[in-house]
Amino acid sequence: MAHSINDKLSILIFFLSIALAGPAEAALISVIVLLITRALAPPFRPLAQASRRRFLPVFLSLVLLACLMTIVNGLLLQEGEVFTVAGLSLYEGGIRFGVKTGARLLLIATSLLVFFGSVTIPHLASSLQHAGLPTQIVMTVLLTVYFLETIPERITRIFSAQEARGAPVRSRVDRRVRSFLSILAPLILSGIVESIERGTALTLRGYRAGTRLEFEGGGESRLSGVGKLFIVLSFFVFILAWVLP
Amino acid sequence: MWTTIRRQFDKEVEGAGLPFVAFCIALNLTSGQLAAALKIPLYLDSIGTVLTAVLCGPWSAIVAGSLSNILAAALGNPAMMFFIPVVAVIGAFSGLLARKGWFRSWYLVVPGGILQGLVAAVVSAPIAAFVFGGVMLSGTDVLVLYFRSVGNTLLESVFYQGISSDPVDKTVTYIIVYMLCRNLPLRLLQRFNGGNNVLTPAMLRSIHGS
Repeated sequence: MAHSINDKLSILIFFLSIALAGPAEAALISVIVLLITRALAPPFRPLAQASRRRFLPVFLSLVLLACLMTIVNGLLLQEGEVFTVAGLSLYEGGIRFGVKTGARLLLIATSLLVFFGSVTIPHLASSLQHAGLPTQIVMTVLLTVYFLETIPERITRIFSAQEARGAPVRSRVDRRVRSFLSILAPLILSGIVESIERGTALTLRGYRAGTRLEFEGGGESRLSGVGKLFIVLSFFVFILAWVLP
Repeated sequence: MWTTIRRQFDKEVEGAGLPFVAFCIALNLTSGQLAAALKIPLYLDSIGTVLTAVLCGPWSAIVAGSLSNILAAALGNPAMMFFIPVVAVIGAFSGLLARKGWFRSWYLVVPGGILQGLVAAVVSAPIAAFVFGGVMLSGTDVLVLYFRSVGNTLLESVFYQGISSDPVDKTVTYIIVYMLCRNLPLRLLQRFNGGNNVLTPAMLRSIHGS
């Protein structure tokens, strides 16, 4: 079973190729395969509690979206036979288009959720660097993760402070936009000040463009036989889609 | 060409630029939630990208926008992955406008925002139509349904929905960024590569004392 992040990436590419080039049936089967793999294969299980908790609601909302797509397209794309379901006149052509689009979206979204849920940020950063991405991009990703943890708390504090000062957070739309600005201004100012401090700290520690970084727990990033097989299969999916009518 | 782009990006994120781009990505991911908390009927999720475009430059704005959508996908909104071309165009376009000095006066910011909205609508319409079938589970779906019911094709309907909602969102975003940048202290503005994008000739004269 694939352990390195590059192997997982090649599996992700394989499922994305099915989503883009394969039929709706193959996409739906792939979603089921992904769900089973996520449940049974330890390397594909979510690493963080938050991503474990968030998976089911996000997946269900995507299923709902796919169903809505099918119904809306069935109502609007007036091609082929008409079926009446619960008082709604749905057209065959629209339902086909909706199912195809919905299945494709569901597969792309599920494979992305499984991939991102089962890799750690240091692994991802290390792999991005091994893949030849500039260090600045890798640094940006790592710094964003830090800011993402701190910004919601800052917003809550500023929101409460501005509300206590009488900012019209529950008034008319134009006033709410103004109070949005009164929350955003201190937030951005604090962000700029912190960026300057961090930028200075990085410069003083000898960081400059092009410096390579070492990541703890970077792990194995070579492509194994399994990874190579999935890359070949991805090409095969596209060739099949091109050859078959 | 790649070396030129990389050198330009390095120049844009020098010093405080790199952590600021990261901050703006995090801002993109959270400002939409703030707008929702205040019940503002706009997305306002590209404030960070436009802010990066103005204070750093177009290349860093493209990076900020693209990474925002990749991280949004990783954090539970996979649909955002498909809109990377849209945010890349938003970053590039607003960066170019900022370089041309469109963020120095309010009467240029408003048409800039409207133009940005039209450009975003043109780029996002094919993605929304062909990947999502026009249904995004948001309030604007009603507009798509309306345009389809009056006889337009799916692509046309999504495009009309885009041009009826995006210019408003982007104009408000541009005005917010303009107001934020105009109220920043000069000493902070000067720490960024694109600080001059918001400085008027009078402000520049006051800095140089002539």
